[in-house]
Amino acid sequence: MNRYFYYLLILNMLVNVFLYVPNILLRERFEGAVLAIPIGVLIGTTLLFLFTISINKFKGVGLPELLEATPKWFRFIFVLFFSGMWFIAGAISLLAFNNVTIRFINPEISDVNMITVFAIFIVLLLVRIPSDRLLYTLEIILVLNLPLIGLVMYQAYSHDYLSIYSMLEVATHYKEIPSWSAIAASTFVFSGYTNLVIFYRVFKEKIRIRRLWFVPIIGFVNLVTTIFIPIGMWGADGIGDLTYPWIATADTLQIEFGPVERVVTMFILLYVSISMISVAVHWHVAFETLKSTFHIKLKSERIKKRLDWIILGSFALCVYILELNLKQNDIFVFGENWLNFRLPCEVFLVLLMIGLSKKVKQ
Amino acid sequence: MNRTKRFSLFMILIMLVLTLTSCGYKDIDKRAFVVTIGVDKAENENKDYKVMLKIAIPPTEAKGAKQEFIVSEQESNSITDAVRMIKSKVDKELDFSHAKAIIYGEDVVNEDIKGVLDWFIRRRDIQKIAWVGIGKPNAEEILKMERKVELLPSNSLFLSFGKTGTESVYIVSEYLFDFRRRLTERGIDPILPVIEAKDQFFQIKNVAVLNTDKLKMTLSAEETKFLNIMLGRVENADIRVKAEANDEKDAYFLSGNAITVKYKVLTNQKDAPIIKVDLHVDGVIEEAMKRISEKHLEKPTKLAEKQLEKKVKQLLEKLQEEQLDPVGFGLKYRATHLNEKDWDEWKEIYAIAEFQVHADISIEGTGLLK
Repeated sequence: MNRYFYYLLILNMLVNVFLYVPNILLRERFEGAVLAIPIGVLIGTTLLFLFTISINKFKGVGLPELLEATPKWFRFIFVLFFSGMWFIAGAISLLAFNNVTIRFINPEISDVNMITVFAIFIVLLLVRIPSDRLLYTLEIILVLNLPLIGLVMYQAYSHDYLSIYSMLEVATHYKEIPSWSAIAASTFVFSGYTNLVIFYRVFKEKIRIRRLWFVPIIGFVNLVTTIFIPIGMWGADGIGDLTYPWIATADTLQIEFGPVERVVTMFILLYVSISMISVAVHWHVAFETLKSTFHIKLKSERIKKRLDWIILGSFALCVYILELNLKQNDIFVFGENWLNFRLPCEVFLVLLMIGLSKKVKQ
Repeated sequence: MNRTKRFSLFMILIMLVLTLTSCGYKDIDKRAFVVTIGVDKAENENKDYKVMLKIAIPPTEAKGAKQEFIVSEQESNSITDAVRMIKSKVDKELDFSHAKAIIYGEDVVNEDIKGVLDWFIRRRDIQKIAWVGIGKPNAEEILKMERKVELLPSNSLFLSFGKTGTESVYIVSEYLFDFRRRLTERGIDPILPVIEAKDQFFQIKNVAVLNTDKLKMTLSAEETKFLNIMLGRVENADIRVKAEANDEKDAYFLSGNAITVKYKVLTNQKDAPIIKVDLHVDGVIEEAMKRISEKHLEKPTKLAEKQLEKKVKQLLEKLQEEQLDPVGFGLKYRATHLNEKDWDEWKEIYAIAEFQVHADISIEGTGLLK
């Protein structure tokens, strides 16, 4: 089961494109985004290792079960708050990629209709499948998509018009102190491990910590690609004007004798599937956390089932209301605030995990 | 949940899907495919632009089909408005997904380029890998031209710019995204190929150099070749060598391949700043007007090096005089200097910088003749 942990990490690295990580870093490309990358790698991997080592002390349990050891009021607030955070993570990806789908695939459909279709699909998916099967789905989607993403990356790095000097010009601003937003954005790439709070239940063996040495390297390469490829294509000064930097960058790539010449078409279809599974994973964590906390007291199966539908229904309703009220730029501001707020929450989660692991040992 | 209940829930969900009424997709036979977009200056004095869309008419039979197209045009103050008006003229949905070339008329580029670029970047359905060029005398001539060699409308334009058809050292191909990059980036200036309409065909042999908002200079065919070499976009180019430096007669032609260019900016407090350019060419003699001995190649090599150095230097100085920098020396300076004001410094440096061009040619052979 160890490899599923890698999939969770890779998923977050891929989906950062839709969670406004490139937008934030590119906006601050002259004001500290460059230094934010190594800082982000450092903070991100430290949190990752601390969390994984702590959770490794247990076997086959999720965070809700571990929280039994804490006071009731704390458990209640914590569960409500953290499942909210996970729900918003999924909601932002859903809103953002809904926006992209409408802009680029089907401009004639209304936003609300589109998001209803996506939300219903995900809710139906979540109500049916348990954690382990969601991980299998994730594996299939990644196995299908990763070679194609590799192809896009190869096209980008080997492009004749990729301007190395534009990239270097941004790199020379490495002395600037990064802002909180930039650091929060770059640590997001590593935070796939937080999904373990639920998925660790189905992990049959312990995670081999030594094998995680490649995570900082891949994360670093991922962050560098995320911000420097768009700069190389659109220029250090010109990239700031783009609302969807990565989609515009995918539109500069071309496979002349491929089945589809414009890489952007393939890129968007790839990202629809990746965002969908990412939303499903995030909402699954939120859903399971809420479920397991409320289910403990309930005996009747029927009420339990009804509760599941209520939780998922309210997820869909919340997204629907958000979509009605947020415009393209509002989603970005919302996403950025969420990213900023997420970092301290993540630190808190890791500290809690360490505390729990110590307590149980005694 | 029992069966009936589950079934009824399933039916309700299916019915919910039916409420999502939208038919976003239009069939392919209801679409008009735009292959080239042209922007000229309007003939009407009250209007700014004349926008032309070249719409391909798909043949009903593939065998023996001739290329057919229409060019729909509209004068307006904005591209958006012009396209909207054209929409009311054609009966089908305009589809820009095959618009692979954008031609600006010479008059438009002479005035202001930023105004006619915004629409193309902002629109999601215009591909950013479209080719951009200047139509001479105007875009209309290029769009309306029926080339006999063409099987598909506008195909010869795509073949000329892309690498699948002809590969000429005189064609400087520009993608839309690269054009915008050069326009916005400080330290590198935009370039556009000039497509000149002849009787039955068009020729692309010059390049126009722009500053941040309009056309400043059009280079001759030979200068275009050297610029193409400086940009590192061609690896094979022929180099013409004269018998004497000031002589009109040619001595021989060198078919150069594996051309590499390196340049760096040397700034020293004491001396004037120097821009050092190193060219390396491996070549084979392609045509000799005088007899060249296989054993005595040093003299012709020296001759070629000297003349190449002189020509490249002349081109760079010509560009420098107008404060134009299509090669991107300024960008390289910015990329290699850490301080904040590197761009302001560069503007001062470039005005007084001296060029040192060094060419290194090695003649690999004399072809099939000794």
